[in-house]
Amino acid sequence: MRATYFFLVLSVFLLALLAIVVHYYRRRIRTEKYPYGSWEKLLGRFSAVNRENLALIALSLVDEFGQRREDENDADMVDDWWDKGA
Amino acid sequence: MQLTGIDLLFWAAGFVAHVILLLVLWIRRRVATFPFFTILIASYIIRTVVLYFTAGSKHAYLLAYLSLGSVDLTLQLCVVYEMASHVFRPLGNWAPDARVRLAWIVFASIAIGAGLTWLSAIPPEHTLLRTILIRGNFFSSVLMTELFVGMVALSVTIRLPWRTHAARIAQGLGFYSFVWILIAAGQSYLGIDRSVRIYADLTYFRMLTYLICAGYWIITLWVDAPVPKALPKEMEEHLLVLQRHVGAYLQRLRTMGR
Repeated sequence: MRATYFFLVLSVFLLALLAIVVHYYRRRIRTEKYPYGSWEKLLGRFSAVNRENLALIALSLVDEFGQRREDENDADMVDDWWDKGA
Repeated sequence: MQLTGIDLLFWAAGFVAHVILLLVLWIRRRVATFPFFTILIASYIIRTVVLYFTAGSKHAYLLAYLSLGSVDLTLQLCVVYEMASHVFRPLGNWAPDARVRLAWIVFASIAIGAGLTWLSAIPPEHTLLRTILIRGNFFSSVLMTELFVGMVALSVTIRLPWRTHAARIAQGLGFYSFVWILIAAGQSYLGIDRSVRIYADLTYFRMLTYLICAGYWIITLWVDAPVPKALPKEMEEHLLVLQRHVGAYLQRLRTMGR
């Protein structure tokens, strides 16, 4: 009876180990193919961004007439950022 | 103990494979990189010679096998540490996420290995030496397999390179340990009486598996590992600037969210 339990538990254990190896092997292949995740996952991350905060930042860069603020340091920072190809 | 022609053939093949592997490690200057692995292979050569000369006496053979088996397990654990330090410490420092997780993997592996060994079937021979031998073999095979599977999983999770020589050694040892679990489980149920045909077949299968792994190591350790892509200096500076800017913007977003 003990032997039966042992082989049963051992089979489950070995199957679990095999499943782990296959899972991580496939994950490694996927990571090599898409280092930053699939297109859907990338878009999914965008949805987590708070759009209201982004709008606030954008509005802080312009005055009430829609013109770019001259004294805004962040604007230079954004320019630098984009100039460097971010 | 009566050795058949096929026994001698496997012993000779194992001895030759280990000598070639040791020469590869020496000629290709891998000894300094993998000192524990080199010692393990050298110990296998000594073990083959010692077991060959003690094969005449059953008791002496068992004693030699057991004592050399303990050395083998200790060295294999050292090799696990060596592989882990190569994979998780590529630039000299341990990857921050890896250390704690690796410790958990070690504790869990020991606990599961001990549990499975406790549950394992009671060997038909009840002599103390044989019971220790069978259960020790089973425990070490389970432990080694878990450790190597855990290392593979962890390295993929934290995206560390897995095509180095260290990885090849780990893959070979992991595969051999996995097959060894099946054989050790069979031995715990059937015993290790050489007159039983199935025991001899299982032993030949284990030896064949090991020879395949040794061949894999000889080939992969002979060829050079792929050179990792270096990040250009300009790109590194650009990433640092970008990281600083993103940090500043994130800080601003957090402040606005309050």
